[in-house]
Amino acid sequence: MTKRYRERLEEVEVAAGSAAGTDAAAPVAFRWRGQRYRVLVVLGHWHEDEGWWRQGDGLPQRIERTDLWRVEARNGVPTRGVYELVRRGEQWRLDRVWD
Amino acid sequence: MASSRSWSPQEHQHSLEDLGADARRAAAAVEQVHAANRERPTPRDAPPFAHLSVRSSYSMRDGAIRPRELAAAAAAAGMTHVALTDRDGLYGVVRFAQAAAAEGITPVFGTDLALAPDADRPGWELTRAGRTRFPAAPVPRVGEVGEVGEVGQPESRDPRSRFPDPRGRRPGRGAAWLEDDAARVSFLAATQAGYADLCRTVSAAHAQRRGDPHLDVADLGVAAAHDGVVAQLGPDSPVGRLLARGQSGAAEEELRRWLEVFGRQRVVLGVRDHRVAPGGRRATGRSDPHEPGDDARIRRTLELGDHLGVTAVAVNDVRYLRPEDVAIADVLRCVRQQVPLGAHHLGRTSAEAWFTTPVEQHERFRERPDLLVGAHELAVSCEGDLGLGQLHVPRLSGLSPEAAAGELHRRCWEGVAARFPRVTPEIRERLERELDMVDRLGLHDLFLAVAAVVADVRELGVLVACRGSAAGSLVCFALRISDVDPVANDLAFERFMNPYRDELPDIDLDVESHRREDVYDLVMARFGEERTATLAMVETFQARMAVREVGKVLGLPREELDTIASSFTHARARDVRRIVKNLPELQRSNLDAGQLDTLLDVVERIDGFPRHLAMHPCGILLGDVELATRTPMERSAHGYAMSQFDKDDVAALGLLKLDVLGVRMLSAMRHCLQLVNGSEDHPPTRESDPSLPGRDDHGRLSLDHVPTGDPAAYALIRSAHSVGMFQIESPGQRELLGRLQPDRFGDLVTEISLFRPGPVKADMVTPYVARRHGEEPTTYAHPSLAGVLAETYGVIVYHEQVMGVLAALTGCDLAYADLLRRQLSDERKRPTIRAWVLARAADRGVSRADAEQVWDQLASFASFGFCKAHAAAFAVPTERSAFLKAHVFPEFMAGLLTHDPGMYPRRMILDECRLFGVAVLPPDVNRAQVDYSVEVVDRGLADHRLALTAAVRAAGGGRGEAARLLPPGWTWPEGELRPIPPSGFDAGEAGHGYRYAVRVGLRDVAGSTDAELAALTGARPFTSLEDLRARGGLSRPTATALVDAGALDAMAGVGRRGGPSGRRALTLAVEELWRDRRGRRRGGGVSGGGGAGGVAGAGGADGGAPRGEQTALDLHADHTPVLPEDREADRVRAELAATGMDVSRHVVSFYEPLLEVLGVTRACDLGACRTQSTVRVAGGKVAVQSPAQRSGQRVLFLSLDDRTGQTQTTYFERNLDDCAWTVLHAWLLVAEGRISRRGNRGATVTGTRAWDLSRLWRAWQEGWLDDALAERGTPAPHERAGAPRPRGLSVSEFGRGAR
Repeated sequence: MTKRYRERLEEVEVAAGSAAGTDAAAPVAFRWRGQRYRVLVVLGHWHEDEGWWRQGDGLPQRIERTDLWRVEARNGVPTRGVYELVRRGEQWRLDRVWD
Repeated sequence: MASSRSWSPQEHQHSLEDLGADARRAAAAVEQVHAANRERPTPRDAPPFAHLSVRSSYSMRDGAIRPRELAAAAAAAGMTHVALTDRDGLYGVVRFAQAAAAEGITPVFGTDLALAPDADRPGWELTRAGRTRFPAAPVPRVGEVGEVGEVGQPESRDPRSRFPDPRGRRPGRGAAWLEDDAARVSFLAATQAGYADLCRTVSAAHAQRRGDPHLDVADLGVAAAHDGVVAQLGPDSPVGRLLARGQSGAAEEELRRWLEVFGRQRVVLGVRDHRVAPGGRRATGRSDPHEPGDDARIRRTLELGDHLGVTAVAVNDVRYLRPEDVAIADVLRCVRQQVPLGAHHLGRTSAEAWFTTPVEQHERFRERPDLLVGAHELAVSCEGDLGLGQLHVPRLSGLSPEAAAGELHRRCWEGVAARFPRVTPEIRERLERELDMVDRLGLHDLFLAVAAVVADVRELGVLVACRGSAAGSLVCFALRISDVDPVANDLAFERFMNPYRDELPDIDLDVESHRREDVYDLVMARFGEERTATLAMVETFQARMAVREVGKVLGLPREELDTIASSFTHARARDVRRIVKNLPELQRSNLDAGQLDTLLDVVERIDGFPRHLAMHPCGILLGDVELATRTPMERSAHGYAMSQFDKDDVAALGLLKLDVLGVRMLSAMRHCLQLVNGSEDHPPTRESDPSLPGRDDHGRLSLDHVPTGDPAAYALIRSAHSVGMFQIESPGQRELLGRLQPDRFGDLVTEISLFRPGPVKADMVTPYVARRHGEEPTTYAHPSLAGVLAETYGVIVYHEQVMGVLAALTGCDLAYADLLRRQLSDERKRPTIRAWVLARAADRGVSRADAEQVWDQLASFASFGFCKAHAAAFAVPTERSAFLKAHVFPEFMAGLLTHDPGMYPRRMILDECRLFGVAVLPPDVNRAQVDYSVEVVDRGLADHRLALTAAVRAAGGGRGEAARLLPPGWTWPEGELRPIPPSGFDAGEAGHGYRYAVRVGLRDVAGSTDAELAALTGARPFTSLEDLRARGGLSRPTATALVDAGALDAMAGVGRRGGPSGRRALTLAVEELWRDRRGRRRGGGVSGGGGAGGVAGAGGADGGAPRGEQTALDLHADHTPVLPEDREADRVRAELAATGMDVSRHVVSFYEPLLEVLGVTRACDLGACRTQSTVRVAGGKVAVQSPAQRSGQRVLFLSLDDRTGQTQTTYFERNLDDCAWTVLHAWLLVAEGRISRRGNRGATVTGTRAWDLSRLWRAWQEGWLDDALAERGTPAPHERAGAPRPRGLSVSEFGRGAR
């Protein structure tokens, strides 16, 4: 069943050699509540954008984008879970967990 | 006057800037694509790709990418093909095709159409109705439910159009969406026949309701008719919607239906990855349970496609160029829907619809490169072609080409025989040559069709004239299309028809302006609705509109927007920042810098984006059955079928158009003829004048019978009293008339050609005039040119002469010479042409020096010259208007006053009447027509209105005594029975003690509506105010305006014994009578009795009111205050406010004593003043012009009229600091300056000072005249009294008036 969290992630490793913001910059591991999770497979990757008109004066030079990653991950124990990670700028957070 | 005119230098500049901006934007687009590619190096395995779904700015407030940007970006991205699928039409295809050709990329033409909801088709329903559009589906399926709009009115049978009447629509209210969310499908033209079907499909979608295109399920067959259209079913299509809802079975069923209609080869599924998450917004807002997400959409679509064997292609539904441009697209979307900018109005959760490069697209569909290849291959397989640069002469006559040719030849020869007393060999040879050219170009149908239109228009009783180069053609003359004899006037038809040119000859017709729609109807009726269409005009976002609309979407306060918007007139939106920076009003604005910044950013970016289509004011496309396959059509606001293409598009497509221009002068002349010949509500005015020339066999005055070269007309032209004459009435032209002294038709042609910015700037006029009057010898650069240039004394004036000189010098034919002439103005081509011309000249034995001299003359005048045929076509109405002014002056003036064709205000035309001795009568409620009319009145009344009574009475006591009592400008030479008006022409004499007078029409009374006036004139005559109140149906404001205009004076008996004492008393009476609406219902008319009530005197008993009933007026009458006496000045001021005209007396006449004090010179005396002497002139402002000068100097030309004529004062830049404010703001002026003179006549004043006459008057009255005379610049603000402005005049202060 779905659990909602919306908690900040301290540490997220992304795929090596990929620029932030491109599709290749998928998370490969993250740390949540002190535990380290290793991403097994990326199940989904989506984009959302926020209203550019709330971002300040003039027309935006760049459209800020929020990335959603739905991944299957495990933290050492045999059980696996599905986790939804959200990246806004440099900030990562965990929104939903299915386990 | 004429709606077709040459561009001003400023407009040329703008157009060049537009071209420059376009090129810059295309270059920026290329750079953008290159930058994107640098970021992502192309992988080896990247498949080819082409965008198949793109909305450009021609989607009208939707897409934010310009066609040229699209073509440039696609080429830079390495695509070989790219499609344009604008919403609801093919608006941008011609520009897109041109841009694609320039960028070396193949265009694919398509459109994106909304589908009309259909009960039998799941997936086609609406979930949200637009305002005043289709009702929503009965059972909404998905979460949101919109407001239910009104159902459109049932179709009416408007014979004007195959489309139903648009009047069923009403503007919606509230925050409803403007548009519904109908399912949409893109259609692409796969073959040439497919493009034709596409045009018809678009027309079918627009045929339902104006401005609300939806394609009916029944019309899908139109698209599939020739198996040439590909239906691309994307996420917004019925199939895509059903799949999104998870209704796979229904989706499959729906797709099968499309396959049935279009066939497997012509249906593709569009797959788009905008990275939408399941649920839409998961992280940044409220999620939508109905949104399956793009992954699911794509998976289901591909499954369905595989299952039924339908190709799927990758698309991106491109709407803008760069990722950050989504902001522009968002604003446009909200502008389109008229909703505030907000996430819920945008219909998107991600922002991915930019112009993705093939690499970016590959990244999105990494696992299915075949989708990209599919898109590319589909694009490659499409072969629509617009056929740019080809000419399409439609088959209009319905005859076979041979039969049409035979018919045309026959009618031309017959026409020539009828037009000319003797068909000379010259005429025969000329007609043979022209018919030869018509045969070569295959234009028979064109001429037959236009001749038929002209004949029909004449039949309808509408004046029609041909303008433009067509007047140079003998064929047009023979067919009675044109009234200019091209042989006698030596006009070349090669300027009109030219085998070397890649455009069809243009025939422009002028018709009476107020009958233009009748002419449209007639053309449509003759050729059939399917074969004609009006042209579109693309209205683009300019600064003012853009600021208002964008600002509203951004939620900025309306007052602030008004402040900004009202500071632009015709500014380009891209210049908005520069203008706003210098706006003092904005310093006090409440907008914060950030809001303003966003606004200006968006406004600059949407500069020149198409906003909507409007109907072109004069173009009509003429076609045959093929027209509907060449242009998509919609409906104009007036209900006419209208092409989606504008005039440039149509020219590029080689379609035939006829320009029908409404010309007010023709309406004015028609009005004049009706007055002379009589009509239902007007007896003929000239029955007793058999000597009047220009009558037809029935004794009616007819323009066709107006003799050319009429001496009286030319005498009037030479006097430069040309106000009201077509094309020669401006102050500058009047000056030129004075110098040129025309005495035949050819001189008018020259005059019209010379008075153009080019020749005036180059001062071609001076040598021409000098040679004409023999003050300078006529010389030719080479003797061979004498034949061509003799008529203009060796000066090159006409395009035809440039052609003739080139032909004489090089021996080429005139058609080729015309081609060269067109290229002469191009600096880059000039050296090549020069070398060729000089070489050919040398071959023909012209010396190098002579040839070079001729060349220099050509090169300098080529760009200035004017088309002689065009000038000659103009000169016909010029000569006719001069004839009318010379022979039936009052009637002609009534025509001018009714239709207002010229550059002068009406009050100036009234003054022209007085200058010619024609009295002006007030708009009498019982006698006046709605329009201006002419009456024959007894001489005493006319003298009274012209202020001649005193002088005429004194005449018995000697002419000297009488002359002293005449108004200024009038003279009474010995031996004359009557005084002579200031113009020197007495046009008012009707014989037997009667005179002509012009009666002001009721229509010019402020606030009166057509309906009111129709009711009023239908219920005449009225015997009293009460009668008028009871039966006239007038509103109170109109009734008081009628009093002010003097329209009730005669009926109420103002000034007569027992009548009201003046208009002031009358106004009081009207206000009392009209105050209480219930008064009439109680059955109470008011009865007369004392004081103001005396108005009833003329017939108060008519009301039959019981004597005892106490009415409001009676009450008032008991306490009648003693009214101050009416002053004439008050009366005239009220007239100005009510009609914009000083009907009873010229305003300036009130200032006579002051003008004496100031030593003002009258306009009529100016000619006698010494050159360079200092004078003062005064008068009411007629016109102020500020034309662009070659030197860049600012110059103001001020025209004043002072009831003896007009004066022209020129202010140069050095004096503007002192004078500009007054010249621009006052309307009664005194100007001081030195007399300057060119030629024998036309003294003008070079102004050094300017004063406001009413201010001087006040100063004089109050004893500070010397101070006032010393003022310069803007007078101190507290002294400026705020007087009410007369209607139709600029800021003014009509002074306190004379006592």
